[in-house]
Amino acid sequence: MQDPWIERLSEYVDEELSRPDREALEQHLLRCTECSSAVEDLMAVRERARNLPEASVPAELWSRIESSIATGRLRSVPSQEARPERAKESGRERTGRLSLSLPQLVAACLAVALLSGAGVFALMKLSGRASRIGPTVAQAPPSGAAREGATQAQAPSRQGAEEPRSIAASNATVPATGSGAVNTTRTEATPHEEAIAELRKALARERDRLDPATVRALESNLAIIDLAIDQAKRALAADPANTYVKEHLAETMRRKVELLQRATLLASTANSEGTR
Amino acid sequence: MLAAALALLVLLASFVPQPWAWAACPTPPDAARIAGLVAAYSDDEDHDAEDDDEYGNTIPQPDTTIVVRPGVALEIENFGGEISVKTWDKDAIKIAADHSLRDKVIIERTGSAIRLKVKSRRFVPAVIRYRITAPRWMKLELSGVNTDIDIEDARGEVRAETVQGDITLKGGVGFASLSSIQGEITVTGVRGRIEASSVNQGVRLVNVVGAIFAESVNGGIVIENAESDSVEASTVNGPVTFEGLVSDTGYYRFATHNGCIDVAMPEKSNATVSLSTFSGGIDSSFPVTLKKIKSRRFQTTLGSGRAKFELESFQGTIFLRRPQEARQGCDSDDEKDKDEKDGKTKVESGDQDDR
Amino acid sequence: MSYSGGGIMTPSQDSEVTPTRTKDREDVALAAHGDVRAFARLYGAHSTRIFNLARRMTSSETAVDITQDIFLRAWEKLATFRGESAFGTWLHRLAVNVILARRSTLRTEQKRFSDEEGIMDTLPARPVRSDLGMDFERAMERLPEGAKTVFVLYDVEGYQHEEIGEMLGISSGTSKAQLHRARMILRKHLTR
Repeated sequence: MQDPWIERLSEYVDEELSRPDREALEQHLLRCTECSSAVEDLMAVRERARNLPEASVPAELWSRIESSIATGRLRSVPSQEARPERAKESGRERTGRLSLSLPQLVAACLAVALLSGAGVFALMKLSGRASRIGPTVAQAPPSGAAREGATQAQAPSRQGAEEPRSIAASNATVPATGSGAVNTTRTEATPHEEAIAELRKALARERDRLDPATVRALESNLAIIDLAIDQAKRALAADPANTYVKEHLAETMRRKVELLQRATLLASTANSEGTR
Repeated sequence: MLAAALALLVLLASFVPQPWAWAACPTPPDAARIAGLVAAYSDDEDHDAEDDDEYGNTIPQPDTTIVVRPGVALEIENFGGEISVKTWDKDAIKIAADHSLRDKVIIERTGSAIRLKVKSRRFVPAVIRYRITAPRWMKLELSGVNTDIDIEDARGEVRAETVQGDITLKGGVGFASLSSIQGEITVTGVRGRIEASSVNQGVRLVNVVGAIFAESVNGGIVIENAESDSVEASTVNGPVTFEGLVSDTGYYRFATHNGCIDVAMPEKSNATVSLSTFSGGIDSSFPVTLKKIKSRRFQTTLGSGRAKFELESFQGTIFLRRPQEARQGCDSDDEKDKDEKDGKTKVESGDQDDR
Repeated sequence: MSYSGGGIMTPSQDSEVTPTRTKDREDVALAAHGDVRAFARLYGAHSTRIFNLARRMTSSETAVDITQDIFLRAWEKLATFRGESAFGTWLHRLAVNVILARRSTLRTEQKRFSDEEGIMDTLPARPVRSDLGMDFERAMERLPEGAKTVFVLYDVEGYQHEEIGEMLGISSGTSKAQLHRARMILRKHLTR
């Protein structure tokens, strides 16, 4: 019932048929009005597609992009080899970073991040800024031996002990113990850390809906990332001009935010699966 | 050490859900939704009100085959068990499910999808083993909490997600997005665009033709025999290894924090390779000229340098070698495990006579 | 199938991008070093095209968010742009990648196709002109995902089937079939 030539009409219209096929089809078109009518229509569809009206971009989109770039500028800060006026310009923008709108931006990004995918990107950009700040609540290990090549067994216990404190005191500054490599104290929390703290609170609320094994896996992986972040931060403190470390730190922060977001989403949807 | 162990115990104790917490969970909205949708059982006549009580003796569903027209997708939400999907040429889907008498598989049909859901006893999560034969064109959206997912020869889009449960994709064509928290992801012999992510385990991609995006936190990434012009593989704690074609217009990025990177690169490649490490080293089996372009970042150019490689390991060694050479030292964890599982040992030719 | 390995994906309708090519190069170099104003100029030159691509491949509701994602991603990845193709081409390809990757978070959209498309499919082959009251663009938006993607990339954006196959991980045969399917559905919504 189905005319086999119909399926190839688009190829014909797009001149993709081999010569013998094309000639055979053209013969067929002389006899098949349904096919030739379809060919007309297909060409008309193609023509419509090429002449679609263009919608204009909403005017406010650029300012959204620009503010995301401004707060998450880290990755594109020029290296010191770049032209001096460029470095100076970015330096000025760097020191002028903390405007009043930032906490609002974070809150907005966070709200969107938890609800949709779009804000996650902005949130991930925010994570890049933290490298300029001193240590977060994720602590440097007290013993030097545990620092590099730390096994995953050690990491959860070390980080685990810190976590309840981190949730309660999300903005507190805890000085590094022991290693002493980084001792700067922050006067205010970075948007990145606020975001992480918010996500952690959300996760803490929903956590009892997940089974313990999953929670353990999530926590130990967060600890792995925290350790990596900590090591990268100390590396950066030792070598501030190091672009690779800066970028690596930003990416690792992004991984943490992604994992937290994933965990929170998982926890909040957990009660709708399985048990009813 | 003891203090740390105690702290860990205290922490874990706080995660154990209290029994009363289950009862506090609100009635899921699904109940109302199911009532509103078309629900089909394979033998409708057997399903009456008596079967609906908690301890009802529902008959296990025999195989169900449903005719479907092209464009319909398969959606499964499972809790525990397994989802195994094979494909065939028919425009019909065969559904078999093994489960206890007290759990029920509910098949919902909408214009665009077949949905399989589970009705289980209260407070006890269901364990269902699905064995599905689906049309090759069918789009698959599969999710499970504690479910292993196995898919063979799918030609439609595949999305699979588990919390605990390994995901295996074999053969097939098209886009696949596979993600797990605790499970391992394995992809073999697929042509298409693959996005694979595990949190606590590794990702292994063998014989893939197409763009690759692979991520893990605590697992290694193994890419073997790839044909791709776009590969991004990154993990935090684990090795990243790559063997595959180097396309002149390709972009290849391999990154890890705590682990080694091993990339097999034909010497005749046209690639600009950028290597970055903080406290690791760089080891190449063939002569390369490393140009320091920034602090801890080196670059070497092979041939015309068109392809772009980024190799980044914070504290592990970056290995470059010719494809036919053995790995110097970056054995991925699952390769070691695999060898153990296969019972392989390094046997001298003389020993084989003893077998 | 052996891997061809060569050639840069170039939409055939590149002409609109060519006049701005030289200027783009300078702005890309500046923007890659952190110059936001240069990036703003690039945005100005290319945002309409990217926005409309996003709108047609997904929907009007999500196009703004996706366009934002695309440009943020472009900002991040500017350093990897090698300048072998036109910036617009590179940006377009990046946009397609972002859109495809984003679709997993837009699952709710697919539910919209549930019954409408079914109705379209069972209509007789003879085209019904505008009787359904849906205009061409609304019908485009309601195409099944695979067919819509290929249709937008081929007929609207001018990619070839081989390029589309590479981007989507399908064969060029599948791409042709999806294109045909889209066109056959849309022919019922031609208005005269």
